[in-house]
Amino acid sequence: MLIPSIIFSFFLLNVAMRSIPPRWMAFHAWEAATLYATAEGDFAPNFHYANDHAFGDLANMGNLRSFRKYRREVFTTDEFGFRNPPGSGISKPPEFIVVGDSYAAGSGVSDRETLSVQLSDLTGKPAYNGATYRGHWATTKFLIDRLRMRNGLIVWEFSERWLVPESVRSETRIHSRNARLNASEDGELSIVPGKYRQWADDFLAYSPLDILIDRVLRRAQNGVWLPNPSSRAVVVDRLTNGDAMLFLPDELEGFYHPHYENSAYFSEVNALIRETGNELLVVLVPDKYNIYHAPLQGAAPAPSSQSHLDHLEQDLIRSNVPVLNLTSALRLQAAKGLQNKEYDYFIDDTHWNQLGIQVAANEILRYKKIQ
Amino acid sequence: MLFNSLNFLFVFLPVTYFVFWKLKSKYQRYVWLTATGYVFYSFWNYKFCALMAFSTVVSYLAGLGFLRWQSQQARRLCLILPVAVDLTLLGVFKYANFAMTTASDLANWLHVPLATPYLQIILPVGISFYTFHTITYIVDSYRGVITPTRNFFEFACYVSFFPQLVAGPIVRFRQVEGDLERIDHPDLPEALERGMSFFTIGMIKKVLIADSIAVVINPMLEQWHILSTPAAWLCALGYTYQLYFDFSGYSDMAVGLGLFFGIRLPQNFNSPYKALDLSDFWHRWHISLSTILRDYVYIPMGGGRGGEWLTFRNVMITMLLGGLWHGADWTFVAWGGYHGALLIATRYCSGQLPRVTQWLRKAVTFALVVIGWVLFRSTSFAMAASWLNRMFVWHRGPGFAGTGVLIALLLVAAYLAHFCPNTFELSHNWSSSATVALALLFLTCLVMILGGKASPFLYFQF
Repeated sequence: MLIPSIIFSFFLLNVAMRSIPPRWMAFHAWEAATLYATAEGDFAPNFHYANDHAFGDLANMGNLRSFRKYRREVFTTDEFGFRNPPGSGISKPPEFIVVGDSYAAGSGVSDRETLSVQLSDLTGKPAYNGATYRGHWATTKFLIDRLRMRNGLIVWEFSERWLVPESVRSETRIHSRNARLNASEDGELSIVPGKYRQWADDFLAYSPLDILIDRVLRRAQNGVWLPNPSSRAVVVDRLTNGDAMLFLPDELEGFYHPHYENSAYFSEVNALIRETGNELLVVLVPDKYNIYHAPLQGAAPAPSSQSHLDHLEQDLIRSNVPVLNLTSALRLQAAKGLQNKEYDYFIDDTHWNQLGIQVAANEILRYKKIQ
Repeated sequence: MLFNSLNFLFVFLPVTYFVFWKLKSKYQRYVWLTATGYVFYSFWNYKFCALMAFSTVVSYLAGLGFLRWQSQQARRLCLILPVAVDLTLLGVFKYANFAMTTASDLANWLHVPLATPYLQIILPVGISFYTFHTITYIVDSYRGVITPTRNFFEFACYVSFFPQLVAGPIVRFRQVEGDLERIDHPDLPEALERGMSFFTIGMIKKVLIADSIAVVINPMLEQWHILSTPAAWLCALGYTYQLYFDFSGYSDMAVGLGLFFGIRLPQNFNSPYKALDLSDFWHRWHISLSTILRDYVYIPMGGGRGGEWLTFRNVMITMLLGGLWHGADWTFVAWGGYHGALLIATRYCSGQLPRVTQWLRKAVTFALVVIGWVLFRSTSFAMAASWLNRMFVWHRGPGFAGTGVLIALLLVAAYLAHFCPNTFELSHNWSSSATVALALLFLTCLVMILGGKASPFLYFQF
């Protein structure tokens, strides 16, 4: 009966270890923060993470230990499950609400370095970080109402990798990890899935025993003792200054074969936001490969066709939707910083870093002043 | 759901086992095993349960037809119609696109315009196995070798019995008929201990040996066009042992699982790499398939009774069909033809073979089998040709990660395959220290099953 005992013990151990807090197991904040997200936002409410040895998602995904750039990361959420210090937005309505995906949320950077905090620091006015997995109308409406924002600016960050939804109505079918809030056709908001279901889903998905065993095996899969199959999940390219940089294969696909869509989504959102007495600014954020393609050694020539974001920008201008495309500004900063090895995206992560966010904040304010 | 998965080990198997032994009547146990077989299958794709059910019902009705009608005409109808249905299912789902592609390639070669559609067909897992179960049942019923059962769930349980459902062994009804009859009071002493031993050994063979070899050689084979000669040989030997330990390991697990429920599944591998010649090899490798090909294809065609040339024809047709059964690709057919040619040569030289020393016969047979596996594993003739060329003509090439680990694994695998008794030859009465050793190896298997599942999803990594 030794074998059944082993199976049973293993099962019990697997279950018992799920009580280990995710922040003890996570190499960076994002995954730990998104587990047990039982409030309106996509992050666990009243969550705090601090790690002096956090590193990038691409270095982990590709199991490339030599590419890790260790850094301190602090990630805090409020009672609604958004990335703000607890109690934010209650004292007085914000001037800015930043919505969007992990770029807007500040994946990889610390609390003081996010876009909303940098906007607040530059203007002296309160800003709220309402970013989640993706920018989403139901979430935006919830925040506008809950924070009682009027005459403010919704900074809607949209990154190159996504497709614009067909319409606001099509968003009502988005559930679970795509958005915690769902809006019915008559505007009723609800949290999906429910709190208990979310907790159960995350309990099943998160297994510290799996994680530990996987880490041990990935140590052996170092490309010497055993092949490293994870290395295929990322692309390693070298810049003209000698530094190597990691990219997602999807970014190369998106760069060389851009997709275009024609959608009234942002026109609808613009109209809905105006009805609340606020303004919208769609901020287009390019993928890292788009910015760093030019200074790569031996990269294939850029395609002659328009990029996805350039096409989207023109589409939004035609539809009178306020839009700011950050591609030029980020490329300029990338070119300036190349010699001193100052990058506006992390070498070992898909996301922009503090410098890239600073460029975005400055451009947003410059745009606002011009308008 | 695979045997070496946590869903199976933690949930499906314990529940199936405990409920089975709580049920007392034969009928209840047939129904339970049938239901669990369909649950097991539905983890892959629940829609194709209907296909398996259809094949089961058609074959069961054929059996009832044999019981009811004695006229040759009616019996022939009960034979031909269901077998045609089964072969049609197999043909459509497994070979339709292969046939289209072949026709298209041939038309291109002949400069004949021909537009062939590409059908979006999903190959149902296990269809090659369960259709052969039903076909052998129908043919054996027609021949009077077995008496068809009137109990639908007894038959359905035989077809959908989960241990042999998706990867064999291919079991004939007559091989398990007795055990199915006694399912409410199985007379198998120490079945649980023996079953556990088979299951553990099978898991170790598959996870620790076969899967570990695969981890190293698969990336090497993706670069088949630049392999060095040593690397080409390592890949060939690696795949030879990987395939054996994977397939025989899975068969051992199936046998062990069968014993948990009082069903003795037949042996599928009898130390094939100890074979003295190719004929001996085919008596030891995938025994359930080779005996079915012999009894239902080779012998009905005339076997060895029609003179030399007819015998050679029958051997070649049987082996070509055997190759095709393994997969819808010409490389499989070529592999079957290769073995057919070797069997013919063996038959031709059968008078001289006993003069050759045994170790030389074994070595040559093994080498010939290894060459055949190169063809079997290759995804194209170009790959096979390049790989074989690099094995026999000196080539330099890049080094590959994990070569040291691979060599160690090959030494262990070779020792076990060539010099150790196979699972059926063991007594399965383990000493305490052997039990602990096996348990530790099993634990290692669990660890390896649990690990190596790094999420490909960017936003969910730890």
